[in-house]
Amino acid sequence: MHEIQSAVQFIDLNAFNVIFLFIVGFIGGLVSGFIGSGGAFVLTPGMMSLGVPGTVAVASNMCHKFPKAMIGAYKRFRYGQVDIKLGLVMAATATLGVQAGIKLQRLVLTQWGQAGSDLYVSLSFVAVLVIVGGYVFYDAWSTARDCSIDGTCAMARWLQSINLPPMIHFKRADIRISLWFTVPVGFATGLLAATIAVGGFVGVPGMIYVMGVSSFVASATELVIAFVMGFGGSVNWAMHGMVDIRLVLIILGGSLLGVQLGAIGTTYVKEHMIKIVMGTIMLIVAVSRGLAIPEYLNQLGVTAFEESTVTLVKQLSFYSMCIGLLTGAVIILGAMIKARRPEADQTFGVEALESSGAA
Amino acid sequence: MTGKAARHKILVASRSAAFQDRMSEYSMHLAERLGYALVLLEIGAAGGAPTRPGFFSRWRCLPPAAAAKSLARFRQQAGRRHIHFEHLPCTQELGSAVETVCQERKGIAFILTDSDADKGEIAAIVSIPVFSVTFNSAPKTGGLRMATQVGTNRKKPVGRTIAFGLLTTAFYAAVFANTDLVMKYFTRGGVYAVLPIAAVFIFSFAHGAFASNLWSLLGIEARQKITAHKTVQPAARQVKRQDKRPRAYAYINPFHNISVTDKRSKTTIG
Repeated sequence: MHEIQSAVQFIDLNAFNVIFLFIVGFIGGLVSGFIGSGGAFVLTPGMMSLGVPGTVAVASNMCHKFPKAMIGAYKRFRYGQVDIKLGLVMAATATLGVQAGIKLQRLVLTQWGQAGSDLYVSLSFVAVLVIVGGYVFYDAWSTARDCSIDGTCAMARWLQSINLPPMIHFKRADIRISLWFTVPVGFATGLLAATIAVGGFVGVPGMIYVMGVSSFVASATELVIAFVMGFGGSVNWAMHGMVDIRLVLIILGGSLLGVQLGAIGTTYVKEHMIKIVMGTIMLIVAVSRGLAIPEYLNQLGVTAFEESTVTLVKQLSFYSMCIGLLTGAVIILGAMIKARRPEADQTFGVEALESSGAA
Repeated sequence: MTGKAARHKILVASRSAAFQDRMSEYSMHLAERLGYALVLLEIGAAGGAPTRPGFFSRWRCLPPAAAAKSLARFRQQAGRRHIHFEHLPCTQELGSAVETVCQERKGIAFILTDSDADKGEIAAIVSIPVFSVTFNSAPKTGGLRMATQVGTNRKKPVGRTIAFGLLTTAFYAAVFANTDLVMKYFTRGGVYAVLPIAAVFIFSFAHGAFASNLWSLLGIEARQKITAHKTVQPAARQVKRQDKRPRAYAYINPFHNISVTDKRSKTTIG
């Protein structure tokens, strides 16, 4: 431990670094408060771009993530959106998923080295985000339906109908489902969190489409899972002395403002808006991670791109990741501003005279 | 007609003159949350005359000015929230009016009313679940309790915002004014891990409270805080209507002698 610590250099902070981290923290918090996840995947590379060592960046990111999730979960609990029981049940299996993810990462690192590990992470990013994000986005735009009450998806309905003890009733989520069907969703959440640092990209859609939970409850409950996973990981990193408390406090300064605003925003929008934001961010970030792949292919000797090309593509990758987060924030704020306007642009009301006709 | 008609509807029946102010807001929020359409049945004062021959012929309607005002106000609010709705102002007897609407408007999922007496009257006639909504009063058995709505009448939390802001600032100052000392102990690892974890918790509570009060101070608050504690309603019993049609009962005996008896006249045929 002491050898690791002596090798780690904690950066000197200047005004630019502070402002950058505060703003990114705010936007990340805004997105997290709204869709239950996100933001963290920008902060780690963002900190590293400021010269923060990788392990310190990951540790500090995680140490900011769990209190942000705690505040966001509390806020949304007050709005009646959090199912604590569901969150804790999912967190239990997510913890196992995290351990499995870490072991898998170590295996890949041993077999193919750092470049291979980075390539594995990027390919995982692209595969999961394109498939899941694409489906979430398509679902949000085409049908604007959710899987709650009258709109339960076919798979969720089928799984809920299977009586496989132990059956659990989740009151706030208003579903009754076998515990066994929550295990793969929670496990996948933890696995993805350990792989790409954002478990919610599988956890939230999993709760919506596999278990039949509404978008509001799924995104809110994800914050409980994020808190549990983040807390455990943070304690682990803190015991290794990897947490830079200065970075954590600066990021928290912005993210605690943003997460509460995001949570408030959920009370102004319809449920499918959560899917729109989530799908948009996921697809843009998928492009971003796709742009990072050439670098790793070069390092593995699979391709031989020009160094200048790789550098350019790497920068595009980072900026597009920031754009993804920014786009999500703009959509959220735009939806909130529109919902707060006193006059509506469109009238959705139906005249009784026009609709019922002569009686 | 604009917007996509929702498959399910909420029927809101009210006799109250303050219908738009309380019941409409609650019902709109519910419809918005559930993605349902609204059918507003506003039972007005008796004696209103039909104003459009051939349309409201089944209803005795409110005067057109009152109906138009009510409709315009509700349309504005519903439009803002993208809620599909119908407004049916009338003065017909409540039970019959609700029964007629339920027959004509398919997909009524449940009925809201603002009176327990009306709930009983409606529940006796229709089999659709009926809930009574009580405003700013203790929850009654069989009713819904609506939590206080977050509104602009609350006092702005200026003092609390400043207090938590100062606390947060003090925390930042303590950490950054003693950076070397803080980093020395906070990155020591082992049992010293409790230091960064505890610091983050304390800061989160202080700054989280500041952030919450700051947004409230700026007027940015959650739109609604509804905690509806639904009590289980017994299924409404359908009132048996007297069947006026003559009934013929066929009695078949196993030895192929068939006799038909009219129950009312007690005559046997065949």
